[in-house]
Amino acid sequence: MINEYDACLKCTVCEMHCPVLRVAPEFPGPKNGGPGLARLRAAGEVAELDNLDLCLGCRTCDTVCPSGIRPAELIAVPKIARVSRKGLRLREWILTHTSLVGPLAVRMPGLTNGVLANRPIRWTMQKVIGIDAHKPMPKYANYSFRSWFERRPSPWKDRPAPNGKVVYFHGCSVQFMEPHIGRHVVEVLEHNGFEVVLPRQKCCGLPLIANGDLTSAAGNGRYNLQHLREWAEQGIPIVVSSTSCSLTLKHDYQHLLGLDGADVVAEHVYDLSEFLMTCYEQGLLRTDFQPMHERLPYHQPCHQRAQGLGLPAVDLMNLIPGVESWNLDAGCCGSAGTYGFKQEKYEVSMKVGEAMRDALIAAGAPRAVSDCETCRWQMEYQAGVKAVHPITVLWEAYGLGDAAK
Amino acid sequence: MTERAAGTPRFRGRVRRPQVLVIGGGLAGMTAALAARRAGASVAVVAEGAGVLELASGCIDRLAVPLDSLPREHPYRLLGMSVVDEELAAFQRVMEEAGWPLVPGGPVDGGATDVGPAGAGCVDGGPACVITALGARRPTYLVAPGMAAPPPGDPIWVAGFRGLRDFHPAVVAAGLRGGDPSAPVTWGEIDLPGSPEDVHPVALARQLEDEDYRREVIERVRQIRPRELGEGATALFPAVLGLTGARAVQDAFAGALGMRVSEILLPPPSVPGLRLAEALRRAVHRAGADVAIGARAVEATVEDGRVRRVVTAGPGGRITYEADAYVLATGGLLGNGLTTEGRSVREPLFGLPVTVPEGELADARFLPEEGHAFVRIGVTVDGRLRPPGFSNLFVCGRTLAGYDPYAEGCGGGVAVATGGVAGAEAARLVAGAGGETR
Repeated sequence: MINEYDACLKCTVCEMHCPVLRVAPEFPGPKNGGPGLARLRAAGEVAELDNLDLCLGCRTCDTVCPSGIRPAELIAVPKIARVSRKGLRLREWILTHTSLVGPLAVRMPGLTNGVLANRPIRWTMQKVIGIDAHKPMPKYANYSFRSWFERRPSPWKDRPAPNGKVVYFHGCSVQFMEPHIGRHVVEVLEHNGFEVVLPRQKCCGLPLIANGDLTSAAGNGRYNLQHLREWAEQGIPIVVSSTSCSLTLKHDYQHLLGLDGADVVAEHVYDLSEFLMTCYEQGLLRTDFQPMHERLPYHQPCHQRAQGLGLPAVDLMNLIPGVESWNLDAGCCGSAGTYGFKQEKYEVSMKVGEAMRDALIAAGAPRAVSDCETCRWQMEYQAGVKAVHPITVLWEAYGLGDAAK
Repeated sequence: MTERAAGTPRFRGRVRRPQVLVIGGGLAGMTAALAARRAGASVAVVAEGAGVLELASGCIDRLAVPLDSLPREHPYRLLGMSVVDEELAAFQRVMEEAGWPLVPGGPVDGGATDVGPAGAGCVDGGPACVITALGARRPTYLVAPGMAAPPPGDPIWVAGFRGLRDFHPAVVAAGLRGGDPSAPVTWGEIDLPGSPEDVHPVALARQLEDEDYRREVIERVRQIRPRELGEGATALFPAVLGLTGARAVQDAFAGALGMRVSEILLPPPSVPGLRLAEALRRAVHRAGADVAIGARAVEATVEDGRVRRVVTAGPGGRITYEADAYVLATGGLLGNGLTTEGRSVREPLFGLPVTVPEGELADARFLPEEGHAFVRIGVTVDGRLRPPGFSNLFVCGRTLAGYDPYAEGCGGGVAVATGGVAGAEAARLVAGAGGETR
């Protein structure tokens, strides 16, 4: 039988682009750990390789492979097998279930954030369960995004929105940690004549996928598909403001988890920047921007680059008079979701991010931009800049903040 | 589009409208994107993966055989050598602006008038050369920074790093001596800090950009540097002296050793190839072209010889591109720009006619001097690089018929020249249309 991975020519393009291999020589790499190990596994010879878990899951190898192989998915096979046998370790379970802590945390953010910033507690967390004590945990907000959305009147409540409806998939970080980004998304879409619909939703499941728990991820996936499908079937676009969630909804539900109806939904899922730039090209985006006069270095999240969309966020920001935005093109930030919070991976994570850190510092701008929350947290932690979502820049340029005052 | 009532969705889905769509992100496609941007068109590049540029030498070949030995259908003959040389010069300018200056050596096709600056040549008035991991002198044209071979007869010291894959300084030295025991070639080898057993060239290149690590390595090299060699001698290192910052790393080695420093090509993964690919990508981003990697062009609609749309598929979904002009740069048999079933060869996206040489397609010898016939398989085009019957499609690079990059030493030159012409022709078509079609 010929398998997909047999198309590997051993050309090493994946190795050349792998951000881990450059800083951690002990990592077997995408060629050996992906198609190489898959062949040995099929022959019943070797099932695991040491240090294979150092893979960030950035999927750069999937993107650059000229033979259409997806090494990152092959690398994950032993981990998935391990988790399906033994289940998630306690630490992985905690890191992948933020949505369980979230509802409580937004009710008492002071206490939660205080606990998570407390050095002795963090030290204990590192000793007992292996969550690294260095990197600050993301802070919980004092309200949830959905509670804000439900309390406000839509401008298109009594009349049809000229550009129709848009479904918004906000993800966990907007719901519990960065609800202001969700507000910016909603107000920018409404400003452009779209009515925003907010179906029920759970975590997309990517943290579970990254930690090898496909069964739980499929549970989340089925729930989300159930609530998104009716909109997709009406041809309503589903926009996602976190690039990892959009990749999961577009690709993983279909090709990794094989979920029913995933293809129907994926066809209508858009990364937020992709959607707005496509709107611009179709003459649907308003360009009544106020001049801003700001240099805005941009870090493209790996999971957006993996979608093969170009650089829609940079193109969007450069529509604003006076804004100069450019892609730093400095590789992966190293954070990779839950990866950078694990004790044994913290050092590799920081080393991977050094190129991005240096590029950010060299850019010398106080604010930088990225569409992914864990990239932004890493940018702030490593380079000491303020990192914002591109939608925030658009929201400011539209003067929507002024209107609210 | 007909009028619609308010409240009905007007959003057309994943449809994008660059003026020029370049399909393929290798050397030819990226050069086409640069040329089309220079001519003022909006450009998107879509590619299934990274090109194979990362595996190549990082230098650009032009021609290693006499011009009049080329067949009539050769891309150089279609374009004419003056166009080829203009495009190579334009490429050199763009790369210089991107911070990656390539140095031209002299050509070998009889003319040999524009000999490159001292240091770039293999022999006086001859082509530029780089040194391979077997110690051979390989002719090329545009030489990457720090890659030019020292002139034959100059004293050489080959330095190696123990544990580095596929590199043995003794082998390089033996190759350079070419059987002449009196040739002034010596070699030495150091242990890297920590004495690693297996060192990946890309990882080492990146480590050497770290100042502390580099200082330690240079100190170890200095300790075994032959005392008798002076400033006129060249220290040859495997091509791992830095990635983006290679020029600074090379200078640091040269300064500390008091010798000229040059690098030796390794088998893939090729650090010089990666440097060129990254510089080219920076140039394309700087030029303002949109690059989408990880999306394969799977479907094309053609009406009356006019390409109307191309659909790509990837993890980001199916995206429809409605451009005014299209450049096909998807590669040849190796890059899946051409596919085979038995002896029949297809161009899978547009179904373009493919020219297959008559007679035996392969020679029983592995490296016959005149090359294998199958290498010349490809799409035949007119002088503007359009396949028969197409008005807004231009083909460039390895997809083209009639040339053999290996036997003729012309791969890089054909990619750059045909890419540049295809991009410029596509942009010219858009400008000529005056935006009417949009």
